[in-house]
Amino acid sequence: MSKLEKSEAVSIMKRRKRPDPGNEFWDGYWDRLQVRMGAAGASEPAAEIAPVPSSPRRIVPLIPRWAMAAAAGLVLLVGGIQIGRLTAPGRSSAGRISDRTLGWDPLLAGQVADYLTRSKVILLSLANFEPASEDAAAMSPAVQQQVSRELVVRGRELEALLSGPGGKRYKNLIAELKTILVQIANLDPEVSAQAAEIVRSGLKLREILFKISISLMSLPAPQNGAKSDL
Amino acid sequence: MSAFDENDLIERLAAGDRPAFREFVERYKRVVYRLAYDLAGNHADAEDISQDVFIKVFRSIGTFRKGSRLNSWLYRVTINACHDFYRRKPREVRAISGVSLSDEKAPDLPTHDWSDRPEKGSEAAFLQGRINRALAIVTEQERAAFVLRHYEELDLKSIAAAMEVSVGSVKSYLSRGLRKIRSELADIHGPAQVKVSYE
Repeated sequence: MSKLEKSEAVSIMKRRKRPDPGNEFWDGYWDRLQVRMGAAGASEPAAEIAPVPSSPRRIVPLIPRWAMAAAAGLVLLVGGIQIGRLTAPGRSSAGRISDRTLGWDPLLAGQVADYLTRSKVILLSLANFEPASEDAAAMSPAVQQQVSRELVVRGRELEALLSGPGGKRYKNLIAELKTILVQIANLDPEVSAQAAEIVRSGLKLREILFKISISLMSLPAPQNGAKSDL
Repeated sequence: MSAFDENDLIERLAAGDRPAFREFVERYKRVVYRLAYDLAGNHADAEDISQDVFIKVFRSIGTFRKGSRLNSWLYRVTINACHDFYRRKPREVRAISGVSLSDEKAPDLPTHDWSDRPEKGSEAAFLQGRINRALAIVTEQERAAFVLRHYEELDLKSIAAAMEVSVGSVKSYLSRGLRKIRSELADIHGPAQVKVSYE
């Protein structure tokens, strides 16, 4: 576009006329502005209120921008840490609670989780034991008894370690499991089917399995060095 | 208004002197309204924007730097108020952004009486419509630069200060805006040309 074209366009644009709103408009301008200021909450000048801030809303503009930014950054940082802690992999919501309330050594938590898992396997094998359809891959009664004996011993050790207030729940569960495991360990291999039936019906196996599942959910993920040797 | 009067007024404003604020509004309401009208393109929005400007001034006169030019500061506040206004207001009702501006008859405003020369009145209304349309097709930044340069007759540095951009950006806005305006007015021949240079 040439300068001539530009200047021609500008000269046309300069012929623009702005309609005047008239005296009535200008005479009432201040009154309308007052109404608008009242509605906008600007009825007092900022300079007047500056020395004595009377409400949090008015204090905000007095805080330096860098301070606001720093505060916002801090809030974001703390919020991010909290979100990270709450959403860390391998932790259920119940696990988060146990972590905070028990204040456990992560290694001990892993050992308890390992113990509960091993017990669960034994109880499940017992619950699903069907002599008529038993396959070769199923855990033999002899192995069940051997593992049960080991778990009884291990349970005693863990009970001693779970002395804190938050460990009471797990201590009780282990005690309950020990009672069942002792019975399993003492089953007569010759009448195992009959004995298993007695254990299943008499000790409400499903309830204890449910308790184990809930307790496992409440524990943090197993730590290294606390793996099951089953 | 002399610089002394202006400084005195600002000091009184900053001290929260209410009569000073009224005096300020009475002195600058036409300037602010005129710029708001040029940027908005219609009377109703121009009034709202001009009132927003005074409310902002009322609240933030403390941020005005002593020694600065009040007019430049007011231009800046008005441009920002206009930007904020259209950010809040739904786009479909914006007269400036659409064809409606060119068709605006401003029924609530007094217009020139062309009853003795109807053909002249029709021609003038047509031209005003085309000018308004040309002003409506450019972007907000291009319009602000054009208005400040050619209607308010500010130099490039003052425009840059008012728009809070570099002088180079102002030149760019002016150049792009004028190209669009020129293409919109291509079939209209103006009277005597005016000198245009953004160098």
